[in-house]
Amino acid sequence: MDLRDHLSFLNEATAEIGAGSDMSAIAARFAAALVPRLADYAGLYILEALFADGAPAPVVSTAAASGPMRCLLPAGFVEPMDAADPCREAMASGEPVCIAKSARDGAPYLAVPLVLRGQVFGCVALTRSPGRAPFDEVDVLTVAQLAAQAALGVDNARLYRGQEVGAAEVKRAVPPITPPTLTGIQVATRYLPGGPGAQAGGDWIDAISLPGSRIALVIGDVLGHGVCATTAMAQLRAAVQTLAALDLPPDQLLRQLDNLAQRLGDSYLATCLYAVYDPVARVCLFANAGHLPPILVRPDGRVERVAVPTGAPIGVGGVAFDTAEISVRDGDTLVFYTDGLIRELPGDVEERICALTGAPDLVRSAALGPDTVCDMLLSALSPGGGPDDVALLAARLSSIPAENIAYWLLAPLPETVARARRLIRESLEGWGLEDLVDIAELLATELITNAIRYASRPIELRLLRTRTLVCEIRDDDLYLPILRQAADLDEDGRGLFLVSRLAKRWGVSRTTHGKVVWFELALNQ
Amino acid sequence: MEVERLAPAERDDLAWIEREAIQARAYDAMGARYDEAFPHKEGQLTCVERLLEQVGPGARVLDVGSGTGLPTARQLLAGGCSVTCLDISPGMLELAQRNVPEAAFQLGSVLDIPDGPPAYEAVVAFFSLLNLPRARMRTALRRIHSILTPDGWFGLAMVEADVDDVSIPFLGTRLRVTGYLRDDLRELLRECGFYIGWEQLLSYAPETSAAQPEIQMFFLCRRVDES
Repeated sequence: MDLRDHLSFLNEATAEIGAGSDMSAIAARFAAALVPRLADYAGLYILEALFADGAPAPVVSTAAASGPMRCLLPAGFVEPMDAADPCREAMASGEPVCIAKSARDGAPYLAVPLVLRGQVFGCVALTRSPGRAPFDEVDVLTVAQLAAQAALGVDNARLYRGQEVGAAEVKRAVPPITPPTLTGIQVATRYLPGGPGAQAGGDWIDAISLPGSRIALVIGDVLGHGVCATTAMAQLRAAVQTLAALDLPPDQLLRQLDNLAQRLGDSYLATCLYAVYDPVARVCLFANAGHLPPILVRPDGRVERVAVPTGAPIGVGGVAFDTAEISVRDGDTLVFYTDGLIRELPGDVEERICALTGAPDLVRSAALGPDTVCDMLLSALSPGGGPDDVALLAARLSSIPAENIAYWLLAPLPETVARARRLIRESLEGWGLEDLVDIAELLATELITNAIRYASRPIELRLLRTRTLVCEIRDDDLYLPILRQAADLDEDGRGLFLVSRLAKRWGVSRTTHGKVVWFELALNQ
Repeated sequence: MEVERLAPAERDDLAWIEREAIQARAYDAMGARYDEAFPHKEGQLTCVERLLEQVGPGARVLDVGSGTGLPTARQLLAGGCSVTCLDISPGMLELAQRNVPEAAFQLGSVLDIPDGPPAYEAVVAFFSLLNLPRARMRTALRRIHSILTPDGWFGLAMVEADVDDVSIPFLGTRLRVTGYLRDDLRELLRECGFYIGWEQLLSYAPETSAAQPEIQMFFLCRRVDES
């Protein structure tokens, strides 16, 4: 083999091996480059320990050979390496192991470790048919050179795959946490993670159940892509969930979120739209941190861009947020979206929003429900998905009719307990819910007794008849009661325990001026 | 258009005068927002319809806490009544003067109405007496009783609650309000010389997040005199 010929082989083989993008392809190219010129069998082994994340393909090996050596091991085969295998020695020492005649079959054998940055992570193994000459010094150097190339490729593939797996996992974490049962609203959401090869994005959507049958709708978009954006998204999203549970007014919630973003670092910049729908008052409150305006589709066919305050993005800091209140009607559909939905449309942002509000089937799809709205918008505006991720939320609103609500302001006096019981009895009888009177009276008694003990201002009692019966008691005491197990002789501490045992659901949340404790009873018990 | 200004009945009670001024300012600030937040007044309309079945055209009716004059003063005028609008809020009276210019207008509280012979065949007070503390509610009801002609009619609307003169947030301002539970109010009306001829309880949800849903109680009562 002359030098020119050898260099040319080395050059081609290097290019060939380097062209592989995943481990199997690299192994196959490695084997194809070496067989039959240098060996009759070539295999590439990766240590299983590198795949501690539980991903498949712990060992990649490929055989390419002619004659009796053909297909000794299939690609992707997991092979426990026995103690006498020269590969073990090569990997242990970090040096090539060259054997003129193997003890097993008398064939020449060469094992070269895959080493990168001082770390051994595999081995290549070559054999020749028993009649061929043993591997010489040039062969060893050549194989070592190509093994180094393969090692680089394998390492890149491993890192890339790790990133892909991470991104895929992050993308899986994005779908919104929507409460199973919501009254007064039908919510549909879509999240498209962007085209193939796209990095994880920073879009998120949520629907959060608040006290008083109100629902918070959230959409957000962290600027940028990749794991950083997704991590920031996860933090902001968790913060919104927590702040929403405190029942902060929308403008205050965004204010707190902005403060938090400042503390987390100066690289956080996100748009966020936070809305609270109140099916009793039939209003929607909005606060906005630089997000695109929502769309309101009225049942009569009007499509409006909701005039939400623009607001500065979360992370800018020091800016005020305003709350806008709009009246809504039964059958109205609200649409929240991220810029990924309209990115592929021509024109500037204004023109794109106009194209969205003018989408031909918008009104017709709204009549069919929020899922249809989402599907229609995605197929009309972002067919096949763009490079950006898309988050979309459609909510069809319905109200709780006033006749299904009863509300009283009551002085925090001892006699209030008995009076409230009478009000509950009369209301439930009026609603034909006689069978719930006893249990509702019992549980309300516990909660009202507790409320009047600490309240300094009138307490509020509210009954809501929807698919369930909800009883809420508000007071101005900020101390939240805690569910605990009362001891045998304790006189206190049984109220919430009773509620937790007998109600379908119950909860406590802070309000702007105190707290609300509520329980829910199933109808037709 | 003239607005008759009633002299405060309790000239010496400065705390009370100050309190009434604050309440009046709250209503001034509310203005037309009140009708926007409470747009559907079916209960009130029904109550006035019932009243108009009892009092004929030409009846003199006092609307206590007439607010914007809508819908009640207009409905009474359309029914042929001669209407006097009484309100503590100059701002509300201005709106009423625009909405029902045919009415007469008085600025003041029901407590300020001077003694005199019965001057009205009917009095209505829709969600206005709830601004008085319980200590003055009886006085107000007796005053209404005294200005009604014998067998005169009294239409009353209150929100069911069990509180006495508490300050609540209401349409972006604060108001002091009083409420009774249905049985207590029925009892109070009887004690003050009214016979309840018709009543209706109605759940109502204002179209705003700045006020709570409520149970509205409408009563149509007849003045009775102990024989």
